[in-house]
Amino acid sequence: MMRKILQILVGLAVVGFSAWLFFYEEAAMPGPLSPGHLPLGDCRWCHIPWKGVSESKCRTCHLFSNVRDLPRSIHFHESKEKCLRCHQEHGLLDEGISQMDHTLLNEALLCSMCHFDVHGGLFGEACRECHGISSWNVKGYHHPSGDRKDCARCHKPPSFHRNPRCWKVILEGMGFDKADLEECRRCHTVNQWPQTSENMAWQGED
Amino acid sequence: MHVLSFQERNIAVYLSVFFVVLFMAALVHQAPAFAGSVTGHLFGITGGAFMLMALAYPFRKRILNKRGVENPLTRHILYGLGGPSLGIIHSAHTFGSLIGILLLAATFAVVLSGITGFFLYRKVSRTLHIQKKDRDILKKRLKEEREGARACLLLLEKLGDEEEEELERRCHETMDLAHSVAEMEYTVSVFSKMKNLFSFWYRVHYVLALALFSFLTVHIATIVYYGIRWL
Repeated sequence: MMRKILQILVGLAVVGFSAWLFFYEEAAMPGPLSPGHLPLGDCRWCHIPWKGVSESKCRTCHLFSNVRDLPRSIHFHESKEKCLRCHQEHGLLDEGISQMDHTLLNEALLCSMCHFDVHGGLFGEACRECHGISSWNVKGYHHPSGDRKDCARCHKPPSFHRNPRCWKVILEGMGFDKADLEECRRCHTVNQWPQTSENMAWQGED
Repeated sequence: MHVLSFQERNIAVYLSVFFVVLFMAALVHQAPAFAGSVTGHLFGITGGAFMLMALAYPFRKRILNKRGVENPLTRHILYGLGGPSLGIIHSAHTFGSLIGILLLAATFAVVLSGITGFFLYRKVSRTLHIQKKDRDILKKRLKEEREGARACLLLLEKLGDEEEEELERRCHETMDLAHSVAEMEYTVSVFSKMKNLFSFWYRVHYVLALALFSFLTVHIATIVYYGIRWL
């Protein structure tokens, strides 16, 4: 009899503890909040009971009436209805609270508004002709054949080539009397750009 | 008691090892976002369903009173190890919320108590059964050895040399038998105590299972209350 009573008591204690867990909000928190959201305290700031996190709750604090009013660094926030596509709380993302989803951006936005153009403007603003949205790497890119001589279409001569005094030294070193800045292939090879071609050698180097 | 085939026993051993290895993988792996993804939820829901299906065994045993071949333990073992394994994959080794931690801990404890019960309790129970059988055979033989007992009595009266040797042999045989019965009685009593101890272990298994399903209910309720992430 005592054993039965003890079993019932243990069972009730387990069920009671579980019920308490449901009402203890912090027990359900899957991870720590980001420092900006830490002072909020109450889960209902972001969660609607039985419905979940709502973008409307985000906009209670993060005003998006006019994107131009936002700091310049976040002007790209065109998609004010889809906060959760990029922002996740409770340490679910590897780095911080945001993970960029370029597919949400307005087509009219220019890549150069946020990204530094390593091509120095040679390709204009048509980045998407070569670069994908989810990955910056150019898919299936192969350098044009070594027979082509229009390197300057994509590559700009470095500053020490454009400086006349340096250029003169380079020409002397390569054993040329005269050469045009765009005649890259007279010294450079396609596969190893920093190195000069095999039949050319600096004076003094055999 | 339903006897597992060699193949079934192997599956139980492999699944137990798989579960423990999966649990220990938490030392080297964590993926916080996985549990809330569609795939993560699929693992979780399937795991939960498996755990519920494992309850069919105690239900049939206790409520419907079906035992042995009518209620094989095999499915309980398969669902009872498969479900928690899927649950651990669902968690992706992220020990974030208190409910999640308690649920994982209860899952591990239930499986561990189940494995212990399965491997040790069955072993003890079977050994006890064999020992009791042997003891009964020896007791029966001892009862039949009346001549030997009489020989021991006659020995006390010191008869002639020739007769004395024969009586001594019979008396020794009977004494050995009596010693064996006494030893067997002792072994049976030790195994009986162990069996009682393991029956307590089974109760621990039930309480832990109750905790597991309570935490699982709270886990599901809070997920729905605070919002399923992928919806």
